[in-house]
Amino acid sequence: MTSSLGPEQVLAFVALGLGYGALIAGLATGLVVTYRSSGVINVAAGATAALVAYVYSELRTTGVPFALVIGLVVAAVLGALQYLLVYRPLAKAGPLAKLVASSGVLLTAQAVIVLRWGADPVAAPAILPQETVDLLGVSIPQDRLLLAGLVIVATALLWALYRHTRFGIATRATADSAKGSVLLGLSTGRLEVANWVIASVLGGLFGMLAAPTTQLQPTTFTLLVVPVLTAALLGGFSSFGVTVATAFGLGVVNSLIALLQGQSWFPQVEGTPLPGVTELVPFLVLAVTLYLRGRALPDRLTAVAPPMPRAPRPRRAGPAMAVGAVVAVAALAGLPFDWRQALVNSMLGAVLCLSVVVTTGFVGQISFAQMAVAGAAGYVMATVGGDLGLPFPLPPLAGIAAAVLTSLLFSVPARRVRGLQLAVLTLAGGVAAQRFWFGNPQWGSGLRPANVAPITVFGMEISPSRSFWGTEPPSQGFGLVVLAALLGCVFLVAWLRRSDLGARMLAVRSSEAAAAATGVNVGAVKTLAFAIGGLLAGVAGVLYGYTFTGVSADRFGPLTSIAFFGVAVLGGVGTVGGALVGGLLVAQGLLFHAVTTWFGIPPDYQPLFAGLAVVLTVIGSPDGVAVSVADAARSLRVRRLALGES
Amino acid sequence: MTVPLLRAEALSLYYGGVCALRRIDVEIMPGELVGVIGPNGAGKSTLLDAITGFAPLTDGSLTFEGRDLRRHGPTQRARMGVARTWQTLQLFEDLTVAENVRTAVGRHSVSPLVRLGIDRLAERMPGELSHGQRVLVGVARALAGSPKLLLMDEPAAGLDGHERALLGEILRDVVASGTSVVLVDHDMPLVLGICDRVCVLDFGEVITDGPPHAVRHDPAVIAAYLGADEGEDSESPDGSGIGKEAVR
Amino acid sequence: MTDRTRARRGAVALGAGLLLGLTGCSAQEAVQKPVPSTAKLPGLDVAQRTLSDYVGGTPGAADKAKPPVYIGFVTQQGGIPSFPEAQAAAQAAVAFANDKLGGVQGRPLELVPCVVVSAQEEALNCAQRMAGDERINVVQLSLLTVGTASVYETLAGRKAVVGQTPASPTDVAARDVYQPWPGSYGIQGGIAKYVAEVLKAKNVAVVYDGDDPGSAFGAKSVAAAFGQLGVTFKQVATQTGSADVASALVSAGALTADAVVRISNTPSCVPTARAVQQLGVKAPVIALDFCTDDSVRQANGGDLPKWTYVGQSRNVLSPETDEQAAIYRSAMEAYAPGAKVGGLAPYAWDSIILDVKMLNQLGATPTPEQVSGWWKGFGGPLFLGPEKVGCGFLADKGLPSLCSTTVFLSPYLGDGKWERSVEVNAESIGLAR
Repeated sequence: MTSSLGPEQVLAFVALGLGYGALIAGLATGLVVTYRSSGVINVAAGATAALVAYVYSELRTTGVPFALVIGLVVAAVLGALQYLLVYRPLAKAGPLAKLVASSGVLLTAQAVIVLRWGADPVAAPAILPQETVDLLGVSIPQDRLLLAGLVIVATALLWALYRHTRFGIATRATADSAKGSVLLGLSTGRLEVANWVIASVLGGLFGMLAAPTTQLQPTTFTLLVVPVLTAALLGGFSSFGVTVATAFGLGVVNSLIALLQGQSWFPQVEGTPLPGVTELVPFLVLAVTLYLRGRALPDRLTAVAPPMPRAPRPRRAGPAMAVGAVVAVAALAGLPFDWRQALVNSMLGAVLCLSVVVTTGFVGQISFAQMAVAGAAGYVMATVGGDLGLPFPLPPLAGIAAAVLTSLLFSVPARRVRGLQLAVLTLAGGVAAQRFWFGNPQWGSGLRPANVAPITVFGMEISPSRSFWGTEPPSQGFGLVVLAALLGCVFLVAWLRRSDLGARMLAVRSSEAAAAATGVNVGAVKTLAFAIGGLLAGVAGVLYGYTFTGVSADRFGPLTSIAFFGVAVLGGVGTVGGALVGGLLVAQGLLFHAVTTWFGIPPDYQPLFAGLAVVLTVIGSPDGVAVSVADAARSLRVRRLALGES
Repeated sequence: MTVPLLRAEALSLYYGGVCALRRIDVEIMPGELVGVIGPNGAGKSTLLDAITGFAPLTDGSLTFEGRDLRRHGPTQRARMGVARTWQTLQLFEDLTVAENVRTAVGRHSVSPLVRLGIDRLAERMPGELSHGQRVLVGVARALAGSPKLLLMDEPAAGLDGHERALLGEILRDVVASGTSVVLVDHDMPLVLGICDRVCVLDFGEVITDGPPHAVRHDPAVIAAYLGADEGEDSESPDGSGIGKEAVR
Repeated sequence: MTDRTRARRGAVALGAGLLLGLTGCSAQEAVQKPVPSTAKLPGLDVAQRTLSDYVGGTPGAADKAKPPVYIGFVTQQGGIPSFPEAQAAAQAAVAFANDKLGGVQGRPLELVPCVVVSAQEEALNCAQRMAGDERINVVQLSLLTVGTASVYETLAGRKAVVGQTPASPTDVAARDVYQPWPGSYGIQGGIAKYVAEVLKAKNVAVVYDGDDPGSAFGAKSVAAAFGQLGVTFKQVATQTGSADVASALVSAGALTADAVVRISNTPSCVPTARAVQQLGVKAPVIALDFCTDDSVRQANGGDLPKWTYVGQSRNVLSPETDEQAAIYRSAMEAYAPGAKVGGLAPYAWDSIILDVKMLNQLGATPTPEQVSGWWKGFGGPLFLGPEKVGCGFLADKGLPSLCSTTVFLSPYLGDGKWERSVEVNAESIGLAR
């Protein structure tokens, strides 16, 4: 059989893509179930399914009977626990807090897998028959076809369950109106547990069935998060049928791209097929579909925006900034090298968090693309400085300009796509950028080192290893440059919040319709917010490049974007203070370093603690730590006043 | 003969097989306070949404100061001088009262907060205010852009008697200073008491358009209200409860 | 605090405790079972004699009274990917050197380890730590997939840096740092030459992991190499660990090709094996030695697929067919019994032996210039690698840090039996600026 493009070939490849599509469908259907019942976009769905598959694999290899049943029970327990321990306390919180909580669960599940079973791939015992079937001249493994069939059956059953049984109708009622359901005597808690159990068992089942088609490895299922979200999103987080169809579509696209790569006309870069097409095509389809489906303004009936963390107007920033600057300079002067570096890492994190504050906190657009935007800045800077050999300050300026332009690209769908839909779209976009651009042999760091030449001012180098101040890396001189950049960004964001443009941004966040009715050009405000957010992310990206003497694609992947966004929300996306707290919390930042050094947490346990910390913190402070701290300070002041008076 | 500020001819709006507005003709003159009343589902809010650009018209013409409004979105219409308030208020909860007002494009010589007597609330957050105060903030925000036409969507809902009377005075004041007002509401005494003209809708059509005393006794209007569902708003045009119990 | 809150917090704490217990209990189980070898390994005396000659030291124990010679050693483990075997093997080499080879000029050798889990910041931290440590003159790197640019930048001019295997374009382009083993960046010419000259294949299917830069580079140079050697080929990319290898294999023409070349990391090995079996591919398959990992053996029904594996070192899984590999196994058996002998272990082990050789010649406190000068002049052999190396010979092709493009191709016959490796020196085939 040749791989020319006849109709049989295409159909054969379509059939081959079904197995992958089935796995996506199984996970995406679970996602729809949990969204409909609890309003949670569960990015951890793949990771928990993987955990079940790992448990099953261990049980089978150690000869425990009824391993499949035990696996399903474990899945059920995982689902119930997630709801009871994590999402139930967050029932009244906004969608951002829930999203962050699910990313914490993701990190935790992934960490448990790595700690228990290691990073090496693990054998996954087969459940479905592995022999092949001859279909259209190609041998197709039976398990793919069976998986596809099972998914369709399971989805049909679910559809019937939700449409025709009391349980299903009650769930839909509760999703529409929690208060109304309580009045009707429905126990919302029990319903939600049941739904989470269903979703988790479904994911676990497909995880166990599909694992043998690939070796079980910690990230295999987790990286499915983007295709799974895409399928659920195109199904509107409500229609099982569209979700499953899209999931199969994605599997088929994956397979067809493999077919097309073998064709001579497929675009090539330096002799290899163009990378990242597999991620770019679904993203473009998603973007176009959502854009066409979206409306320029929400209509009156859907005008209620989801609750977002508070964004109070800052008081005069001047004195606080001066104090902060003095403290930072003293820290740079006095701290030992690892703490200095942790401080630099925190400052970088804070700049990137500031970009999230502007795009998400101020104007309410949930965008996961900030890391990719920062990456764009880094890569353009590396190219302009390296390939084109232009001197400082052109490379960083070019990088920042590229970041602004990339961010503006993301602002186009933001005009019509809102809330969590935009979140998923930007996540997919970030991944597409990472594979298609950053992984490209010519434009990215695929085949060339994306190294960054250090800052050179008047012939003098200012880099982490050497500068005008400091002989031990990281040099204090470089720390000063980062601090100056951070202060500039803080000033910009504080000014923005106090300005008329800032007020308009928050107006758009509160109510796009009312803002339009007051004469605010909603589209222009969103675009400006993305531009400013892009500028800030660009500064961060450029500084990351200088700090690590280069740019590497894995910094900008989906899991890092999700984790980083979670940190930004934990710090607080509504205020400058929140961004600074986010910087403190960021991985490898000051708090991280303090905890791991003082409590001696070994490096391989750090991801587990990070994941647990995210979950616990978001439950305790759904509006962000900065806001909780400010509230606590205020109530303390009030109490002191009251005590003083009495 | 003065040129109408807003002229709507044969406005029709269908969504998904339901006819919400059927060939509506209405004219608002400068300096007029026009009330729009009608039973539930008559299309009052839809008409308001259509004029302000939040509901797409299927047919008809809509001009403001002679310019075709249908070519412009809500933002443009606002900038042309068409302002509105919302039944759900839609205040900007993250901004202070003063910031809420500042978002409007354009500057007033006298701050709308002062005009409405709520300038002492300027630095408070909307979430801290009483419902009556929130309504006034919404009105202030709408007035901040010096609009020529202000459309109000059920502002009196939830206000007590004293607050309603105050609202009535404020509206007469606004009209006196040159801004036409279209008041959509269920509060009959308020509407019939302060409006120059009242337009009555039922099933998406205009059934009467005239001065309050005419509307009060128009048999078609009485029939429309008697035929309406039993409920909180079921009362006869003059509020005297003829024929049906006024359920509060 | 209400009862409910207290109960909930208690449940969370209990859950967290369970998690910790669960993970803590088996963190030690990372040790892999060794491959049972039927051949008798040479005794330690043979190992001592051979290696003493090699490193140029006085056989015997190092003098514990003398001050130790410290070498910084940076490895990557605990994250994804993770190579714990590197440190274990390196420590075994240090123990062997101190016990049998007289250490470095009679002084005991001591490693100062630093571990990178998965973040660039950790690599930077390790480099900063080493830069400030006065005891260290030489920093030996193991394979690091993140952060090496900042390592080179931080240590430049401060400490001598010795590479091991390049994992990114930054590593191959590094100045004054040499990588004794070619890694993904230098093995493609060898594969192509073997396929063309030994297998005499005219038509090849190449499937590689498109999302891994190393594999993408490998695919590009394999393409160029096949072009130079006159072999027609088709190449298709998959995603790491993807289940969908079958589509890629068919698309690349595996069903009609004379040979199939699979460039990938470990997670892709088993899906490839399954796909190859299910599709009924008859052509010989050439895969990287990532696929000789125990996890592949277990997942494949207890035996490795009968493919030809490409390694940068002599085949340490087959001591019967290679004397130096046997000596390595003997030393590992004595000083790290039960430890993993494959993966990065042979490279890490050999790197330490090389460092001993180098320091015996340069003294215990060489400058960075002296170290890079030594490497430039070092013509080989690598004990577990090729006879001849020439560090920097590819500088004009933009790969100044590579020392060789020699690979060892070892056909596996099943049941623990291997054919003797074929050593292929590809020089600069397939590499162009």
